[in-house]
Amino acid sequence: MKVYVKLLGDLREALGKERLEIELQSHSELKWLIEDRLLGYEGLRDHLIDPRTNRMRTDLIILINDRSVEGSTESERVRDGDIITLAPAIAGG
Amino acid sequence: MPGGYKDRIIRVDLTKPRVSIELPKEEHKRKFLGGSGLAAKILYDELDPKTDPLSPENKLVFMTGPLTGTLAPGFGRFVIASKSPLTGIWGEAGSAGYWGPELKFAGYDGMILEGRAEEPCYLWINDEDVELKDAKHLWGKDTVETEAIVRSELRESKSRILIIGQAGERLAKIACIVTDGGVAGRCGLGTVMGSKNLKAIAVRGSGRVEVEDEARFHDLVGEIHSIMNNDPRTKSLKSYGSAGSMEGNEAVGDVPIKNWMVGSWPDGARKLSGQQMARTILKRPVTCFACPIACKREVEIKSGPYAGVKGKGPEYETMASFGTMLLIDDIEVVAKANDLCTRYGIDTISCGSAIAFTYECYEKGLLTKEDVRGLDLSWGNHDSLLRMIEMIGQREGIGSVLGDGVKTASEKIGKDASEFAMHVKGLEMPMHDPRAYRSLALGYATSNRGACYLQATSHWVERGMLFPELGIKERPDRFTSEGKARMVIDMQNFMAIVDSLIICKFALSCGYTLTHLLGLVEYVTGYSISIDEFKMMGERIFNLKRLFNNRLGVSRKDDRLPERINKPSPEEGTKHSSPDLGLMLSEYYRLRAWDEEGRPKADKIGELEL
Ligand code: SF4
Repeated sequence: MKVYVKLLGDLREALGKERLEIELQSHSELKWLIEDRLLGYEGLRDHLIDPRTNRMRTDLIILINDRSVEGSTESERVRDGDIITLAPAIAGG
Repeated sequence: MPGGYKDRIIRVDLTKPRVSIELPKEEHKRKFLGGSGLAAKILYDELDPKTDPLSPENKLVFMTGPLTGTLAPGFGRFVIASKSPLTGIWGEAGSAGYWGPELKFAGYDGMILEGRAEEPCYLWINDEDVELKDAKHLWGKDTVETEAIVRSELRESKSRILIIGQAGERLAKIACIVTDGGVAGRCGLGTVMGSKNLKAIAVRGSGRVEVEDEARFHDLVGEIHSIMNNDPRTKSLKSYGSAGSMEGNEAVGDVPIKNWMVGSWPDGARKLSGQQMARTILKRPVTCFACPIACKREVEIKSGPYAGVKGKGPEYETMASFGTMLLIDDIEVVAKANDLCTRYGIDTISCGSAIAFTYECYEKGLLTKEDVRGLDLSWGNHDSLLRMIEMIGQREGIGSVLGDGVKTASEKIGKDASEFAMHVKGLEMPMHDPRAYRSLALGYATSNRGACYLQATSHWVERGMLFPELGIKERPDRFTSEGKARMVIDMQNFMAIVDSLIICKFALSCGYTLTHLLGLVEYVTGYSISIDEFKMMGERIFNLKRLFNNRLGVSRKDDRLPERINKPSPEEGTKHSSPDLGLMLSEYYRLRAWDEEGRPKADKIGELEL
C-alpha cells in the first residue's frame, strides 16, 4: 500500500520537500512508518528523535488525514491512501 | 549578602521629585525570590486597592531576578508590574533583551516608580547616579526617534533604554513599553508610564553580578549549553523564530483565525510562517543577553509598498494577531504593522485583537463606513489595518475607542459587540486556542493578569513536553477537560517561579530541567532550595497575586471565557468540541484550597505564610 507524508515547518525545510510517497509492504503501524522509514531521510532524524532518550520525541504533531494522533503512537495504524501530516516539536509560543 | 542580588532597589518619587535607595528584606527574597514574586509583594503591601491605575498613586515596579545578569543562558529578562489600566487588576509584562542585566550591572535589583512628574522627563541611571532629565522635546516622538536622541544626548552608545511611544503618552490603555529585546507588551504598562509623564528609562552599569560558587556555576552553565545546543528547538528558534511553529499550530487548530471564528487556514499559516520569513524579509536572527538561541528577528523590506521597514521583526503572536486574525496572509504587511506598533508603542496582541473585533463589527453591521472614517474593513484589507494602527497610536476617531482595548470598545459600541470581544478580565486573548488545548481554557480563566498562556504554558504539556520533576510524566489528551486542573496548577506555580528567577520561557523549553534551575539558584545565591520548597514558593507567589485581585473584587464570576470559546470551532483541528470550564474550575478551586468564590481559604493563606 501507499501512504503520503506531508511535512510542515522545519521538517519540510530540513528535507527540502513537502510531500513524500511511501510504499509500505508488510507493516501498517504508524510507529514503524516514522521510526523505520522516515528516519532514513537525512535531516529528519534530528527532529524526530529526542537526543536525551534516543527515542521518538513525545512532542511531535502527527495527523492521520485530519485526525490528530494524541499520546502514544503504539496502536496507530495507517491505511492505503492515508495522508500523514507531521510537524515538529513546539518551539516558543 | 547572597550572590546574585544587588540588595538595592531604587525608589523614584516623580512628584517631588526624589530618588532614594532601599534594601530588599532578606525574608522577602527567601519567600518571593525576585522578579514577578518580589514585585507582587511590593505592590500588595504598598498599593491601596482603590488606586486609579492612571493616578500618581499607582506604582510601576521594575524587577530583575537573582540570576539576571549572570551567564546562565536565557536569564536576560526583567519584569514590570503595576495595577493595570487596561484590566483594573494585577498587571505584569516582561521582556528579554539587555535592560535587566544592565540594571544589575548598575548595582540595582529593581526600581519602584511612583507619583507623576510635572512635565515630561526621562530617567538616566548611570551606576550610582540616578537623575531625571527633561523630555519635553521627546514628547510626541516615536520610540525609534526617541531612542536615537536619548542615546546621543547621553553620549553613551551602550546604554540600554526603555521607551514609550505616542500611544502611551496619549494614555491608550493598550500601550506597551518598548525595550531593546522587544516589548513589555501586555496590560497597558506603557500607559502607566505615560500617565507619570515618563518617556524613557536609560541605564548603564559598569559592575558585575557576583556568583557564590563560580566553579560549579561554570560547570553547570556548560552542561546546559551543551543540552540546548543539541535540542532541535534551539535550532528551530534560531532559524525561524517563534513563528516557525505557525504551521504546526495551525494544523492542530491552535491558531485563532478571523477573530476566532475559523479553525483552519493552512495556506495562510504557511505564508505567515517563520520559514517564509527566513526566505523573504529576514535580515538576521538577534539574541538577548547570554542566550545561545537568538530567536528574535531583524527584518528588512527592500522594495514594494512597504520598502523601508527595517528593524524588529514580528514574533508568532504578532504574526497571528495581524495575520490570521484578519485573514491577511502577506508577511510584509504584518512586518509593517509590527513596525508601526513598535514606533507608537502599542501591544500587538491587544491591537490585532481590537482591529479584528472592529472588522467583525463592520461585517455584522454594528459599525458603518462613516463610523470608521470611510475605511473598508473587509476581512483581509491591508490598508485599513495599517491606517487603524495609526489611528490607535494617535487616538483618532475609532482608534481612540480601540486604544482602550476590546472590552471597553465593545461596551461603547453596545448591541451585540461584546460577543466579538475576545478577552478575559479585559485582557485580549493571546494566539492559542483553548478549543485545541483544553488546559488553556482553565489557564486563561485563572491567570492573574487576564487571558494569558504564559502564566501556565500548560499546552506545552498537552503537546508532549513533560516535566517529570513536577510529577508531569505523561502527555494528557488535549481534548479532555477532566483531570486538567492539577496539571494547570502545577504549571502555574512553576511559571510563577520562572517569572521570578527570571528565565525566558522559550529558553526554558530548549532543554532546561527543574534540577538545572535549582542548581543555578544554589550556585549563584547560596540558597539551597528543595523541589518542594520551590513549588511552595511558586504557589505562594501565584496566590499572592490572586489575593491582590480578590481585594479588587475578582471572584468566580470573572474566571470565565468569551462565549465563542465555549462553542466548538467548525473545523476538525479543535475536534468539534469545546472546553468544560465549569468542571475544570470546580476541581481547580478545590485543589487550590480556594472557596467557591475563588478566594484562597484562610488555612491556605497561613500555610503559604502570606
Ligand atoms: S530564547 Fe529568544 S527571547 Fe528568550 S532570551 Fe533567548 S533570544 Fe531572547
